[in-house]
Amino acid sequence: MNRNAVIEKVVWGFLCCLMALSLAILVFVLAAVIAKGLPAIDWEFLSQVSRNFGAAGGILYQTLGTLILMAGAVLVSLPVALGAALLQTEYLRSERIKKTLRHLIYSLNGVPTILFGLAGYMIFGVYLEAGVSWLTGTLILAVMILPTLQVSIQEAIEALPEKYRDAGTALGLTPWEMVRSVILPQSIFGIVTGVLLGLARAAGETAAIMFTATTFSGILLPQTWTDPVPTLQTHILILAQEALSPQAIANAWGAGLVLLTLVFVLILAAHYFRGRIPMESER
Amino acid sequence: MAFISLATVVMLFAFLVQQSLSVIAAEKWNFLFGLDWWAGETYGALPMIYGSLMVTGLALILVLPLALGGAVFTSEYLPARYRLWIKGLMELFAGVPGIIYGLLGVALLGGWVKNTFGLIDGNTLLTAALLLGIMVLPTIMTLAEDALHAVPGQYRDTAFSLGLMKWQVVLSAVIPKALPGIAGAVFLGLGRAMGETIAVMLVIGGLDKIPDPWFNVFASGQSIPSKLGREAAEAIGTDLQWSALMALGLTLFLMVMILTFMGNFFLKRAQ
Amino acid sequence: MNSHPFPLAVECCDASVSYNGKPVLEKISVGIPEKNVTGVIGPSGSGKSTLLRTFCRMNDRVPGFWVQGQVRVGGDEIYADDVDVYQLRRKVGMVFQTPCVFPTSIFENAIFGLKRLFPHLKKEFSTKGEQALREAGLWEEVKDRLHKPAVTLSLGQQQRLAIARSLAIDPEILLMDEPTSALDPKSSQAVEELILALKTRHTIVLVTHNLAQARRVADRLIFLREGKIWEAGTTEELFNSPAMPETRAYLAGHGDFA
Repeated sequence: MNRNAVIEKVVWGFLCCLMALSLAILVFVLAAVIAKGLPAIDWEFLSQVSRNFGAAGGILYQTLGTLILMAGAVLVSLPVALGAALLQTEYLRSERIKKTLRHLIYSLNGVPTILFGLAGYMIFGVYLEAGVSWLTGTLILAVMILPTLQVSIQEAIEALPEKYRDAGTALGLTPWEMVRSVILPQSIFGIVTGVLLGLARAAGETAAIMFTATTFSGILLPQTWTDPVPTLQTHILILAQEALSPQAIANAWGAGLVLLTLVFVLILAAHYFRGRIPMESER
Repeated sequence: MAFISLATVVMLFAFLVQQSLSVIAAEKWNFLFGLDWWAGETYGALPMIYGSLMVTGLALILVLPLALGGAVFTSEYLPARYRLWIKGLMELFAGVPGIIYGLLGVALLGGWVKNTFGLIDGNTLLTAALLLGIMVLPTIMTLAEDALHAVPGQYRDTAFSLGLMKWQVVLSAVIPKALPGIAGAVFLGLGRAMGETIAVMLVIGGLDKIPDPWFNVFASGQSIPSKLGREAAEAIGTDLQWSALMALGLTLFLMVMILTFMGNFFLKRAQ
Repeated sequence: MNSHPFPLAVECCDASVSYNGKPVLEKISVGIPEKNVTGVIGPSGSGKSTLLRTFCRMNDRVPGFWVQGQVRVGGDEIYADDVDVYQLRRKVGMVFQTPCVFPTSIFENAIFGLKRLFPHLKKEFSTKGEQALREAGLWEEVKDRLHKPAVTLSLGQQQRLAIARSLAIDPEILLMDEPTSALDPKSSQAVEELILALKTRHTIVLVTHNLAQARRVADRLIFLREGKIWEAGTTEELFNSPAMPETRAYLAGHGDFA
């Protein structure tokens, strides 16, 4: 009996240590970014444009650039994701087709993002002649975040209690009226969740845009469709490679903290909205 | 429109195949097994394939005890309300951008590896693997936890009713039942690690060579994504070098797809 | 009511059970005689399963679970501080509503508990496993495919395998929580026959919804309603001359004599 209790305690302690170590490592990452980034951030840093290749000045254009790419990607991706999700949930009733498609969506999510960058550059940048530009970056990110959006939207629509659809059908609604007046309003939180997660994914992406949407000297905001755009991600990348300049590294941490805050706020908001999706069990 | 995802994957694949034809014609098998990569002369991808497998495998070894221990602790020992906190935290950390890890690697981890192991250069395969391990830790932990949590309570009840102790119940009833799901989690995490570009690119050292001896993880190396990230911008517009990079991309695509499909296969079997 | 002619395997005195302050069982006093089949009947939500789980402390893991009063197994108070709950559960086996087999072979399932509780008996695993499978009436059906996955068995066979798994560690008392409700009539019959065969060596407490089954299998019955024992006695007494109108109504109204 004593031996049992000892083994039990040892196992518990061992697992607890692993858990604590995991948490400690992750919290250390967060703490490092905050500790190193906070000193660099003040109003000037946020509101000024960068000078001396980022070693001085602020990150205003970079922040705006990241926001432009994020917003653009979602604007392009949302209609497509919404259409695909509706088609799949409302018209493709076969379980097997649905499963295969879901499988593919997850696989698409697993594709290394740099491949999206390479292929996207050739397709949008070269064949469609958009060049190294914010438009190319937006389109690449739009394709990249498509699965994230579609899965969230689809899950919300599928979680809709059948009684709403029954009620709609009983009223004689056409499929389009059903979508517009029943499905979409009821799954709005799922759509918001998908959009927020898509924004977070786009904001965190560097590999796919580093040579497709930005040039290393491009520190101005785009004026035309085919201008490159500065972003926080690539800004950090450039500064991080100047590892010998303390000021550059300090500014990289500052930009890193801003980026991380942006991503975390988006994920937390997504978490909040997902909690409000009415689930099947609450029928 | 529902087939957009399929179309994207197929198009990407076809695109990579088409773009890599000329280097395959020029190099034949030497592309896969060649040890040297000199832009403009010869394109051997083995060092990059080696680097990708090495950092991914090493990352897995480093992260697995932490991720699985944490998953078991969260699912089996932690009270339910703490569990939700941990899950939320892991979801948050899974979203930390790769560039943040890259910065961390450059500014802190590289120096730490250099000093701890007395190296001349902190940019090594080990540094990249450590960084990747930290990166995929939340993903693997939360997916493995899902698999454990999904084991029906009756398996625990049954094992408890036989008089087994908690650790025996967990080890012999819960974990075997959750194994397919755990395997799925690990494969998906591996796929993510193998495809990561930025964080690896900044700390792996960028040396297109297999170290001597091959298991020397304190040497610099090169993974496929980091090679792509380093060279793509300069290779744009060239003929054979671009094609060689595309062939590298194709190799990466196939390796990651295998991992992803294995992951999906196990996760599906777990349901 | 407490004057049984037999020695008691389980005995409750004023036992009350609550979850998070919500009472589920109130002031239960009952004795369960040895080497008998005691049926527990009553409407859904009357606390039948909770009563059963109380006997082997299965609810310890449920947060907010609270027991008052006395519950004795083999004369020993099981909710005392120094009780080894794992020893208790070896003595008191339990079989659940839906058959639950582990993702391993038939034989490994049969010796699942044995292997982990008594690793030093390794040499006896094969004989003890066979013995348990024989006792559960499953041996003839599975002896040629002992190393096939247990999920290849039919549900009825899986349930008997679950019973064999409990028998392998030789419990004195076997608790069965609606063991046939997920099975087809033929498998149910096999399990019922098994229960009758087992009572020569084991004390069995059987929760059932099926009154015909209770009548066929149980020697004594406990009628539970709204967390209280309304009536307990021999099966004959309850079916032929119930003392309480509620018992009469339940036995008449829910006559599921399938």
